[in-house]
Amino acid sequence: MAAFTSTVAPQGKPRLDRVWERLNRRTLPWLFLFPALIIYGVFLVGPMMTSLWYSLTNWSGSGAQHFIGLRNYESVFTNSTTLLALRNTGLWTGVMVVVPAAIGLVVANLLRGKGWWKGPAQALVYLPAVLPTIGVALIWGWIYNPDFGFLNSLLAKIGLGSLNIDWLGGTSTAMPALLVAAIWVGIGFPMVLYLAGIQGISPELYEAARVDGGSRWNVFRNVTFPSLRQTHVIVVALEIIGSLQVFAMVYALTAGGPGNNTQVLGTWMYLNIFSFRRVGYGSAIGWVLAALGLLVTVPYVLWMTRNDR
Amino acid sequence: MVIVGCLVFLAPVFVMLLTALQPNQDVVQYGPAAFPHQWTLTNFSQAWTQGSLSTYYLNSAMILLVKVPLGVLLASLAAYPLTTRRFFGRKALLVALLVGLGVPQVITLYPLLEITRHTGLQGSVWVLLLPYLAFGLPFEILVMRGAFAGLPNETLEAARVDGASEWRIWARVCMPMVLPALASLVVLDGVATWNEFVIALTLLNNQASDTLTIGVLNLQGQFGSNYAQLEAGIFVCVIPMVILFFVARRYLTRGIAVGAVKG
Repeated sequence: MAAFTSTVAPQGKPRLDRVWERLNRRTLPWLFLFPALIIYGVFLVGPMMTSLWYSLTNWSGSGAQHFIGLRNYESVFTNSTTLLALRNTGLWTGVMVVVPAAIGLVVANLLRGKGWWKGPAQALVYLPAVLPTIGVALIWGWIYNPDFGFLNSLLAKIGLGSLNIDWLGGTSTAMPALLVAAIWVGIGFPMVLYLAGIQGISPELYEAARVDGGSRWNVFRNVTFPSLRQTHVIVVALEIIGSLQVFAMVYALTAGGPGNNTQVLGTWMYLNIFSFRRVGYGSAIGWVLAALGLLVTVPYVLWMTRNDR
Repeated sequence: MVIVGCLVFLAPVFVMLLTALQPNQDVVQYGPAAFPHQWTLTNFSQAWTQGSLSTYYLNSAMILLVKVPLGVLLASLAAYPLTTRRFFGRKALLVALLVGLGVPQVITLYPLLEITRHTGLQGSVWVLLLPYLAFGLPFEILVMRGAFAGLPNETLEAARVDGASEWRIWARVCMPMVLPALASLVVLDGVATWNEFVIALTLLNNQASDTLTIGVLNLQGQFGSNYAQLEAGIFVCVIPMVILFFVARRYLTRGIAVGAVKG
């Protein structure tokens, strides 16, 4: 908005006024930004940097803080539980990038266009996404309950009562059970993004495809999917960012158990800091997580602001 | 087909509701996959009184009512020069503010806990206010930036030529023109604030100051094996979001589209 910077004081104004005006023009943006920057700096950037410092110490939360260099990080990449948490976070991210996004895309494609039932159907698919994660976790905890839960009760109904699986307590079922719950909540968000993306596709493209007599699948493959390139980038980036931050679902359903089987970086860090009083080590785990997050977020933000002069 | 699909998809919600609507001994005896033998509403009233849900509701509502308008106001102020003015460091600042989207809240928890120990606010729900504002800003600024960028340049220019101050242009010209985006943002921010979990889990230290997300976790310990009452409590916890969702669905989905897609 170059025109604004060329705004000049009307002719004949006293000199002091012009100085004041120029000063004002310089400082004005900062006055608008000031409250947000203070809060962002003190309660987000500041704590972030403080925990970076902690990650270089062996601090327990009280007493002296001894600088130990990168030793915590060394241990992050050698400790078997931490590596498991890292792998689980990777698995979680991989699944969440692919599954909810794919289902969301398919559902968006089914529910696009006109039809009285499409709006309400979109709404129902999106509904779980607005519920508190903790509430969703507890609902699924009840479904998975080994003694009275819905799932085992259903198995019993169809004659498979002998299976009686401890879904969240079994080492082979706990992680898939968590992921199913996370996918259930997670479909709505990519669906909304894809619906918005589909709305941006020129109707002429669809018209042309229809005239060419393309099947539904062909239209999807040749028109819809390639036109959504930008949406794909957004979905993948936001899914990665969201998955790295996973906490409430795991914390409430398994707390990382059985054993440490479903531990992710978020919960493992939390346990280290608040249960084991290893503030230094926990912060190092957290910073590995933060680094992974920034590795995706920084390019994503740069890409989003690419047209910004 | 679609109706069946939707019903299956929402089965977890129905399971919760059906469990909450029958006496606990029936749940234990017949299992939750059975159709209720008797219906009752007492689980809800008992969950409400025994679980002190009214306290949690009040705390969540208080923090929401202060945090959301304040956050949207701060973000609208900040996004205005970031979008409509050119000044040194603008782009770097914009990127720095938006990058907050990818900062995991867990890494700030211990330092935040230390800060709250010094503020004297400990034990009150208000310890959440400033961290919530800080973590809300990146998304709020993203949405407001998208909204301001869509304003016609000529309108701002005309106001400037007329000699209106920047504050006046912001308040009288820009803000009224972005009301739809503001409405979406208020709804989205409200949902995020109501549902926030990990910061509340760390900074709140007594039941009297707990928000609803922590409260519902308390219920799990408190009601033990009274599953019907627990499910009723969970239902009471999630129902405001369900209602809000049906009232403001349009704002919600449009806000996401504006924030993420338009960028």
